[in-house]
Amino acid sequence: MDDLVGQQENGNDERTGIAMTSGHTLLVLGDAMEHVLPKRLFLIGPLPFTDQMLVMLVVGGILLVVFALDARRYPMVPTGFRMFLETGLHFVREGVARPVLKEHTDRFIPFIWTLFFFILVNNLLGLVPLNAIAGLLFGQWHLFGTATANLSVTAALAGLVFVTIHISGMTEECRHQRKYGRSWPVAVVMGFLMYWYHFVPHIPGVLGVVLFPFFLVLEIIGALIKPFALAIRLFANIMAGHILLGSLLLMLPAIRNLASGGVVVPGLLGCTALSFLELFVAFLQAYIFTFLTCLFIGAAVSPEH
Amino acid sequence: MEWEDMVMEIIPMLAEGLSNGGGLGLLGAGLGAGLVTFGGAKGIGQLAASALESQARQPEVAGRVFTSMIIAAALIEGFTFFALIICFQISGKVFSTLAAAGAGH
Repeated sequence: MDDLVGQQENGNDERTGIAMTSGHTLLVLGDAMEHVLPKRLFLIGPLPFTDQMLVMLVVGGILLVVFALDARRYPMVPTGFRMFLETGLHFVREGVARPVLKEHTDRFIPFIWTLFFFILVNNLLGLVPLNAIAGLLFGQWHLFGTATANLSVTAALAGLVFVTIHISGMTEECRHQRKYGRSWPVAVVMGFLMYWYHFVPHIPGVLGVVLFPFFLVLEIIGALIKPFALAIRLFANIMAGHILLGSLLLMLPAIRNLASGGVVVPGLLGCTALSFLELFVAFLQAYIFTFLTCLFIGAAVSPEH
Repeated sequence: MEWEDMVMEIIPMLAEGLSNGGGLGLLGAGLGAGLVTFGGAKGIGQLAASALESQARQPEVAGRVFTSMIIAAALIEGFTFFALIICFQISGKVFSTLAAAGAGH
């Protein structure tokens, strides 16, 4: 997974060269990975601008335009496509966020809506053959990628979730301390300390005091692992789906004899069936990411003492 | 005694032959991916079995049971995919080492 963007310097020739000389299904593994790795389009200063970044910008533009047009007609009863969008928004707010976040729903719902629709539209655009359309129309065959198939993108989203969880938890603790009549600086410091204190479940007596450091270390490790798991779950699901589709389709160039026609038909049928599964996985992974985010924010923000 | 000596000679030969073409690394990656699939599928199958049974017993909670089943299945699949990513990385490293060795020669 190293030198992701240096692919074009190495050229594809060395990897496919080795695969072709060995002459069998090494080609499948070699090339199927390649179409989920980011490709550099051009350089901005020292940094590469990859095809996945382009797709993220496209998705951001789509979300801005579509939801702004939807919200502009706010007092009107939604019909048609607006009803479709509003159903999705309603489901995320009432079905996912409100059972967990109860009174804090409206505080976090812009972040949660953005997270859900950003991940969803990125996953779905990975299934649409934008590369082929752009290639046939404009001659550029590697213009679009799948943003969520990159660990950096999902790690950035998980980092946002991590920051939201802990900062909103500390803010709630500070507000709680303010209710006891403490002044602002004292409330901030006390809130910060009480947040760490409330990490650990309360065990009465001497045993609680002795076990507190161990539980604190365990809870801190857990707090680091949860966003890590969020990132890897989304990344691995989407990337593995794309690699599977690529592997099935690349059975044709791997077998160059009389059997190749017969091999392609099950490959195409399998890819069609797997694309339906990938559609389901796109929705499911966006829902799971959002649901777990709501769960973690709810656990940090609601008074659980 | 003689066949024991032969076996004791064959095993290092096998290991050397396997490790020359990156075979041991690929073997590890392949076996790992297969074992992970086995564990994950068994867990999700058990989950689905109990979810279906509870839906059959009490159809009015079928919707909530289905939602919980989907969430639990996605979580189990999550760490199945962790191990799959590790297998991909192992095989990718083996291939890149092979490419470097091949280009170097």
